[in-house]
Amino acid sequence: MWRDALLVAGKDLRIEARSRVATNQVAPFAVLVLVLFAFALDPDRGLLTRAAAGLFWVAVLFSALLAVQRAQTVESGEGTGDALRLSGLDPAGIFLGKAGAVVVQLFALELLLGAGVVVLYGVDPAGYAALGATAVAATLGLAAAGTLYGALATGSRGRETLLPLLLLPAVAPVLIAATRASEAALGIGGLDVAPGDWLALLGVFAVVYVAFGVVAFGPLMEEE
Amino acid sequence: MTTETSTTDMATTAPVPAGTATAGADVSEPVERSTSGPLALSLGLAAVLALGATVALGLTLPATVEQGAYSRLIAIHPGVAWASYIAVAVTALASALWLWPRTRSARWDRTAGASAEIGVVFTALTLATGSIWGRPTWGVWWVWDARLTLSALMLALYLGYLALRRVPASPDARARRSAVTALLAVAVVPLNHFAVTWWRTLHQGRSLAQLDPGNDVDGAFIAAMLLGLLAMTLVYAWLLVHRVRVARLEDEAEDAMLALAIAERRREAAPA
Amino acid sequence: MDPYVAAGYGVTLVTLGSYALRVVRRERELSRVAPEAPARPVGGEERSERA
Repeated sequence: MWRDALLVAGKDLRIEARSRVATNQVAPFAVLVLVLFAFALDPDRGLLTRAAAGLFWVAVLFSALLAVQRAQTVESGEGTGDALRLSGLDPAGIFLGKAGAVVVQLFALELLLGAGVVVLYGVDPAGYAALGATAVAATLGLAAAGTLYGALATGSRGRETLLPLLLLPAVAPVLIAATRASEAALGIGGLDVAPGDWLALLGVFAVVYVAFGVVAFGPLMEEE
Repeated sequence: MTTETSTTDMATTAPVPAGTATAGADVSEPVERSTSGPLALSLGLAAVLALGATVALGLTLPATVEQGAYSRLIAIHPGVAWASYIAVAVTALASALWLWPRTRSARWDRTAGASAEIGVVFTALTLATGSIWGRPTWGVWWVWDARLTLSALMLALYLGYLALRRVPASPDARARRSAVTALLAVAVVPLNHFAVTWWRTLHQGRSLAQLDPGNDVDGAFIAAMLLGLLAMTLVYAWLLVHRVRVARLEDEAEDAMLALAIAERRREAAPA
Repeated sequence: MDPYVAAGYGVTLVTLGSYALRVVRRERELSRVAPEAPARPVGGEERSERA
């Protein structure tokens, strides 16, 4: 299973490296979202700095949507999906591989967006360990949920509009928890709930979706 | 899957005049064909009676000191919310029954879809009545109260589920996809719950917990609320029976249409 | 009567009523079409639909 996962993840990442869709389209889009938030909010009154964690995760969410859609498009052309199905790879491995490739891309995006938030919104970076743990847990959950819902919406016309409708309400807890945990790490915002609880929530979310994906991906792939 | 059986049926019955086929259908499933079976009829009657009693009792509740006349909404809002929870639970259960190979049947897929649709209606009503209650009580149409937010998220999740069901696919593929989505939606309910409760810790407590049953006035409120729960449960059950039947008829009509088209093609081919 | 209370009861009853009407109407419509469908043995449905 893990060997298959590495194979699939390697394949997807190689495709991304060669096609450059992630670097040429998704990354500029993510930065653009940050700029748009600055237009929408008043940059002079510290509003952006205070809302930075939430805006950062919303930008990550939108970019994740694009990355997941991209990961599904890769399999939809010219019978590549069938080839993957017939390849004899473990479906759980395929799921982990595709989710893993999304995780790697999202990590890169989060580094970029993090730099963007520091530069554009004037956030003082702090609490690197807590931020890192938050990012890892949130990204694993996002990638697993995205890959699973991406597979569920596959092969349907109107998938572009169906995926956000399925994914966004499902990852609402990730947005809430990741935002609060990041704010705690940065030391902004008053908090009633311990940051550890938010991290635990993110962890449980990731575990639930990874487990669901490992079990359900096989039957979902066989169907068509 | 079903197409195959009905195609062979069609091949044998196609030359028979339409009237005979109708009679045959009536003999084989007399109760199923009629619009209201005894179960649906008695459920419907009970639902209408309970709903009528709820409205009558709810509207005559005394005005309270803190809430004035608005507290009369207690007969409606908790019941509607309760029915939406039942709908979600039934959808999850039916989906699990479909996924479990030994109980797999198209009936469970239809039940899941029907229940989810009714659940969306009740969830939307929960938000609407909650909002209407909130306006005079809190002064705004919407507060980011944990339970209201959770209901809004549920509505979005189940709208997505219904949209997924409408995507054309083979019945088996659609049922599998939908069942997985429904179970996922239920699996995230506790996560959503914790997220929104920690996020927003202002709430006005559970409506029942605030009341004191020993008090005569409070007793009337509790009675109205419980009657509302019962009425909405009956309405839900009645709607479910009919909505499942609609889903079955739709499936059958689709099969029949396909069989008819195949028979016509055959008839066209025969003289040539 | 208080407008908010009236709105709460009204929106609930009207929504449930119109949804019920829609479902029942659709059912009538379909069951009028359905008898023309080819007859199938009663037990056949369950068997054939088991995937």
